[in-house]
Amino acid sequence: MNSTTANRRIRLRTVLVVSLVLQTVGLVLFVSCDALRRTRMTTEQEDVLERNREARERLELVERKKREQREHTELKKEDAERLARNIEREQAEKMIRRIEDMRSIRDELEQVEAAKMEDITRRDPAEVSLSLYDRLHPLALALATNAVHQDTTQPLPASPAVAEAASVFLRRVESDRSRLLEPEVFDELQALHDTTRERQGDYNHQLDDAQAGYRGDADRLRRENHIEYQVNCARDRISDLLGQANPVMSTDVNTAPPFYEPPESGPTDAAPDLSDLSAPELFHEAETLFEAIRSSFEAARAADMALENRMPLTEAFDAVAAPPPPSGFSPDQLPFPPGTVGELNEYREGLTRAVQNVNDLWQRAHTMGAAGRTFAGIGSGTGEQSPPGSAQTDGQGGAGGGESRGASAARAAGGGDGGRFVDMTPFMLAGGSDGSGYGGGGGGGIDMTHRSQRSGYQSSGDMETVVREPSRLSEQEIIKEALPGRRFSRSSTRTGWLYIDTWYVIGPFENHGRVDFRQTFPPETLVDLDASYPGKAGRTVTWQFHQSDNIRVKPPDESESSTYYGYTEVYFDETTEMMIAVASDDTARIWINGVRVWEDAGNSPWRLDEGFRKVVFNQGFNTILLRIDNGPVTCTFSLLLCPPDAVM
Amino acid sequence: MRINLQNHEGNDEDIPLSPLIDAVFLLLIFFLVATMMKKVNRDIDIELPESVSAERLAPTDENRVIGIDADGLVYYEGEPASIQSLHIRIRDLGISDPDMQIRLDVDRETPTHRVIEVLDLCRFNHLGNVGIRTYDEFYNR
Repeated sequence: MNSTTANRRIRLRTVLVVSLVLQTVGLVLFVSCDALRRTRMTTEQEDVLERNREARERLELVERKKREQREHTELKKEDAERLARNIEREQAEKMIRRIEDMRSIRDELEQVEAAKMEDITRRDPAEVSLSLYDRLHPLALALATNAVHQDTTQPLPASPAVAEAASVFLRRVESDRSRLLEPEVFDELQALHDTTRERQGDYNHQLDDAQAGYRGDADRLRRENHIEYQVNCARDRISDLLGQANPVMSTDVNTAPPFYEPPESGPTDAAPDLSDLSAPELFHEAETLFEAIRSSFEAARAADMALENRMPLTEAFDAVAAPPPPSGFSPDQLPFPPGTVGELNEYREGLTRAVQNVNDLWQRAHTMGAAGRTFAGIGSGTGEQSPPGSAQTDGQGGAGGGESRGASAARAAGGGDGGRFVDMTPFMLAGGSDGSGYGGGGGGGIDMTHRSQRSGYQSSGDMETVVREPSRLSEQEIIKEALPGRRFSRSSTRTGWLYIDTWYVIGPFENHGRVDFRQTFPPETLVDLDASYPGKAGRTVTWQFHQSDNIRVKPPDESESSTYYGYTEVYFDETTEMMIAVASDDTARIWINGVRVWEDAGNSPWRLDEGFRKVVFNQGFNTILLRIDNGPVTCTFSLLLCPPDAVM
Repeated sequence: MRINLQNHEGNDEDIPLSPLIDAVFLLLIFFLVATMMKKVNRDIDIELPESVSAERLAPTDENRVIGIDADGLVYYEGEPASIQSLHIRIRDLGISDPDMQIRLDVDRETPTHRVIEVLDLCRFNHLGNVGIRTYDEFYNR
């Protein structure tokens, strides 16, 4: 055996020995250590979550560092300008589309505004006074009648004075019905009423003293107290009414408030070419347009409201509330040209936000434009165009030489001579907007002068507002037959009663228990389904989608002394006349396509046959806005539709 | 035997690379353009409900996606939309293309009334082809 072979054997042995030792150590470790003998990994849930969290944090830290590093990377000036210009061009294109649309909305609303203001200037100032007369006269009559009755049935030393004062008050109301809001007449009216109140106060004391002598005669006490209560009620309601009214000179009734600026009618500066403007300039152009649209809309809506509710124009301006612009943001502070990648990102995000803001402005402008189109056709009538035969509650319509169409429709909506059954179609045909309905208008200008030519009702003197009483109006029958529906087709096999079950409802607004529509709330100015307003007891109210499973619709968050609004839309394949049945607890007003078609008064229970109106729906989408004022306890309303043929 | 790879002049034969590069570039451009043509659909943060019986449909861009997140906020084609603007868009769609498929991406925590509201809106505007997207293990992976 040579030395080489011997060395190889020694090395082999060494390897075997070392291997054996290692295996032995491994075996010992395996036997002695439990952890090495585990066949599966078991871990605590908390440990896993903790490790995940740590890993995530580490990853975020790395990402943040990378981002910071990236954001601090400086850009070459030329590159930065080129990139920023590309971003700006891309965002500017989006803004330009919206701004062009807003320009057309502004032009359209300015036409509506000019037409409405023209209508206001032609309104007879006596109309406003007559609206107070309409509400005051029944109360004054009730006061005088009950005071006389009081004097007859329970004469006391003060009772003739009460009757005399009430009678003088009534005579004054009747003799000055078209001047009731003139400050000197109004003051005298207040003084006369104060006298009546004092006399009745004396009578109350005298009656208390007299009744002390026959406390045991319950029937007599009840009878006398009832008469006294009737007088006191009428007296208090008159106080309330006079307290709400604001005297105004007849010369000021149609005058706009000092802050109002009419749109410029002469040649204006040429609108800048949008393609020449930078993104911040486009943003400001959109803001300017929005303000112009808002201003025109407020003025047109105020004039419309003044005509419809027969109120002074300044009061109507106070009542309208157009949606404000979105919260302040200005792209002026954006870094240009961006120096680093971070600034470039900031620039991009800023412009994206600017586009979003312009979209919001456009959205609100679009809503105002659509609403403007809806009420554009109302209230344009002047004295000589006042529809003869329109429902007037007291036959005093001639006192002021006629009234606006909106006011006529409003009065007819309340029942007028027609009572429960009133045909509102003449007002809707004569004053309604084009067939597109809410939001369906195809743009373009509105020629206010042509509306009167669309209907034969206007000058023919044959406006019929009273319809003959339908024959099939059993409440039980209607409830049994009615089905929900909002799309109507002539070819539909369904011809009976349909009820509106789907509404957007907003409320409660505080009405302090007065269910007289005197106070208006923002939804009456404009229906904006994304808006929120301060409501009752400091809460914020928003439009809530509400679907009712039966005819009666109960507003969500129902409460006493509150006002709610309901908004919905219905679709008709073609222009269609329909009969609507309205029931409300308590009072309600309904506008269809901006025309007031229904109104009731006082705390009344829900009755399905409370009132019927014959109305006309345009082809396409039609808007329905309902206001319900709740007095005490429950609040419910229903709106049903039926073809007139089915019930006549 | 040896193959003679030399030409008559004695130079090595080259594979012509220019056409190959042209083809590769054309393919690259094709894929770039095809990717850009794909409709941009922004992700919205919603957790879809699961369903075992949902019909599996091939993904398509020929639809309109309305998303509603857990807070009831609405998205139209991945962008935040107000209720008013949703009404306008759905109305326009109902007039211009009533057969358009509407896909509702709704979070499992979304208030039901909001879903009903959107469904009712579609139905009122004559859009009958409405489907609700559910979680799909393969598609949503």
